[in-house]
Parts: sequence; C-alpha cells; structure tokens
Amino acid sequence: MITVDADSPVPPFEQIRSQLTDQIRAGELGSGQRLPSIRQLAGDLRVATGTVARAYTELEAAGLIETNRATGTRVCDDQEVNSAVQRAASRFVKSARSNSLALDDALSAIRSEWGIG
Amino acid sequence: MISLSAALALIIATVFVIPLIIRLSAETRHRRRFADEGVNAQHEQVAADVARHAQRRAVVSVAFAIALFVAIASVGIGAPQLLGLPFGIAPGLAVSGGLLLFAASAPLRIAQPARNSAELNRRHPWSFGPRWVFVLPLAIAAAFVALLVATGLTASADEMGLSRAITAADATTSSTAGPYPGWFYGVPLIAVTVVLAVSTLLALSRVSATPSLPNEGLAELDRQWRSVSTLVITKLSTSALLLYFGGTAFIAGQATRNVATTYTALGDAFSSTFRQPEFAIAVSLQLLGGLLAISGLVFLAAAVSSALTLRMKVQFPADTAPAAGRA
Repeated sequence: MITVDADSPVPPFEQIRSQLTDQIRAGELGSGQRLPSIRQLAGDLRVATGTVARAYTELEAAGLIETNRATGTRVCDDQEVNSAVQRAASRFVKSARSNSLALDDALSAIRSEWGIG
Repeated sequence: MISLSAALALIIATVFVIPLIIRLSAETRHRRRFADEGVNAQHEQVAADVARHAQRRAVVSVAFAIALFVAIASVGIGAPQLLGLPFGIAPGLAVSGGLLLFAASAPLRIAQPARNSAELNRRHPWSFGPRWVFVLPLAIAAAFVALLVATGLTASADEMGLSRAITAADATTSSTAGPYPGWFYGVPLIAVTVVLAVSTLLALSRVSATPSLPNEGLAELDRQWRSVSTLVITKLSTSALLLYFGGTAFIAGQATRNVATTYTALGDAFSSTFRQPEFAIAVSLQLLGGLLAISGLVFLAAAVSSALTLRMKVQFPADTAPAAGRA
C-alpha cells in the first residue's frame, strides 16, 4: 500500500518513488514481485500517468525494478537491505519514537553519523 | 403435459420471484445488523454509495439483457423465414448486450480526499473470483463449439439447400430430419460465442480497471464490490452459454432421434425400430440438452439474485469500524 498526499510539499512522483524504494529495500516487495501497471497505479492514486511513469523510470534507473513489455514491471532480484541492517533500523526507529523524535530529526541523526550532516 | 403459459410462469417465478424473496429477507437481516452495530458514518456513507452504484449497474445490465432476449426472440416469432435462428442466438446476443452496457457504464465518482492510497497488487480481469467461475464458461464454450463443429460435419442440406438437416441412409432406405444445427445455425452460434466471450472479458476488465476507493480503510469494501460484480458477470455469461448449448443439443438430439427411428405399419398399428448407435446418441443429446438448459436457468436465477442482493454483500466491514462507534 502506498499513499500520495496532494497537500505535501514533496512532489507526488517523489512520494511514489520513495515509498516504493522503502518497501523494496525492506523486503516488503520481494524479488520478482509484479507491480501494478502505470495506468492502474495512476488511477488509484488520482495522479497523472506521467507522474507514475516518472517514478517508475527513476526506480528502473536505480536498478530496483525492471520493465518488460510482456511481463510488466517487476522488482529486481536481491534489492532487499541486509536483514541485520534492517533489524538495526527497526531498533533505531523504536528508539527515535520513544524519544518523540520527528522523522526529519531522526534522519538528521543518521546523516550526521553517516558523515554528511 | 405442462402448457406454455404454465412453463412461462415457472420460468418467471424461478428468475424473478425467488431472487426477490431472497433479497427482501437479506435486506431485513442487513437493517437489523446495522441497527445493532454502529459503524464509521463517513465510511458507511461511501460504502452505501458504492453498493448502490454497483447494484444499479448490475441490475440494469441484467434487466437490459432480459429485455434484449425478449426483443430478439420476438423477431424470431415475427420472421419465420429466419428459420428459428433468432431463438438460437438470442441468449448469447442478449447477454452480450447486457455486459457491454455494464462495461460502458461510468464508474462512481467519489469526492477526492487530499490523501489517496493504492494497493501494490496488479489487478487482472480474473483477480476477483474463484477459478471455477472463469474455467466453467470457458469449458462450456469449448464443448459447445466442439458440438457445433460435429453437427456441422454430420449435417446435410435441406430442401432449400441449407445445412440444417441430418440424413441417415443404409443400403435400402434413407431418412432426413431437421431442423438440425448444421453450419446454417452453427456458424452464427460460434460467432455469437466469440462475441459473448469478448463482452465478458470487457465487462470483467472494466471491473478490474476501475480505480480503487481512495481510502486505505476502504480496501475490503473495494474488493467486495469487484468480487460480487465479477460473480454477476460470470454467472450471466455462463447462463447464456448453458441456455443455447442446451437448446442446440436438444434440437440436435431430436433430429437425430427422428432419423434413427423407423416406423413400420402393422395393420392399424405401427412398430418402431431404432438404428443404433444413432438413437442412443440422440437420447443422450436430448437428456444433456435438457440438463444444460435447466442449469442455464439456475445460473440466470443466481445472476439475478446476486445482482439484487449486491447491496447486502457490499458493506463497510463492522470489524474495521472504530471501537467507539460500536458501543
């Protein structure tokens, strides 16, 4: 399930791209899983087909999904983040929530540790 | 022997009255349930709108198919020069018309919230029903086309040179009987079967391609209206196939039975001899035809019933309503 918020300052294509990326990395969308067609997803999210097409193009460029005329759009193999990292992320999110940290602040903490903050 | 009016009354009772009784009792149960349980008012309003729209769409399509059937059958009565062909193609064409109307009708317009959710499952025309509802009509259509090809290959020309009779001959005698579903009836019936298959696919595609309900909490409701609509479409399509397959098999059996029976005068009485295996095949075809036609009526009644009770099957699930609303 993904959601597009029309009132968000984040462009709709970026909302779609980031949520799909997160679900692929978390393993919620497994290897080989078929994604909805551009037309179906655009209709369901009430956005233009070009918006979904742009998100799919960027995901394809990032090597997360592949599009084939015959089989449609599928998640590429081995895109799931290492399970140890996923567990660590889960612990980090629990800790951030227990400290009432907003998402942006939690991401700032990660960027800082990563050395790009 | 049942009179024609008694038979018509029986059909009307089967197709309309019984589903109406089922609908009324289901509606009473539905009202009692909602009187007992509170549900999220906003979601219930959307659920009511969705159910009403889906039901109207299904009922109008079924009613249009039945009206079309009566119109095409009337053409058959008024135009005997068509040699009963309209009766053969009426179920398939009528249901195709109903399904095309379903496919052409506009989806429900719901006020768009700022946040829209979508599931990431790809929807197909066959995504919203058990496998048998798609396999059954396909198998019936394949068997029907096989029967039409078989009767076409065994048919002979009648006195007008049309492939609509069957002839059985041996060294000394020859007998011809009709009407028999040779190529004269077979080719239009195969064409109607193709039209029916395409119409069914279009209607099912319309169900799967309609954008989902916008709210995450309405996912179950969204699945419900698609599932029930899929059932109405497939039952209607299956009923048409069974009705004209049954009629065709029965008529083929009747003609074959006539050519397989020889009457010999013995004074004031007649003795009959039966040519085998033609006679056995004829009786089997008649029994099969009757069984298929009755099954067709059952499926038609089931389609009408599903259309009329659609609103009771499509409702906001009580277990997803907020706890406060269920006090």
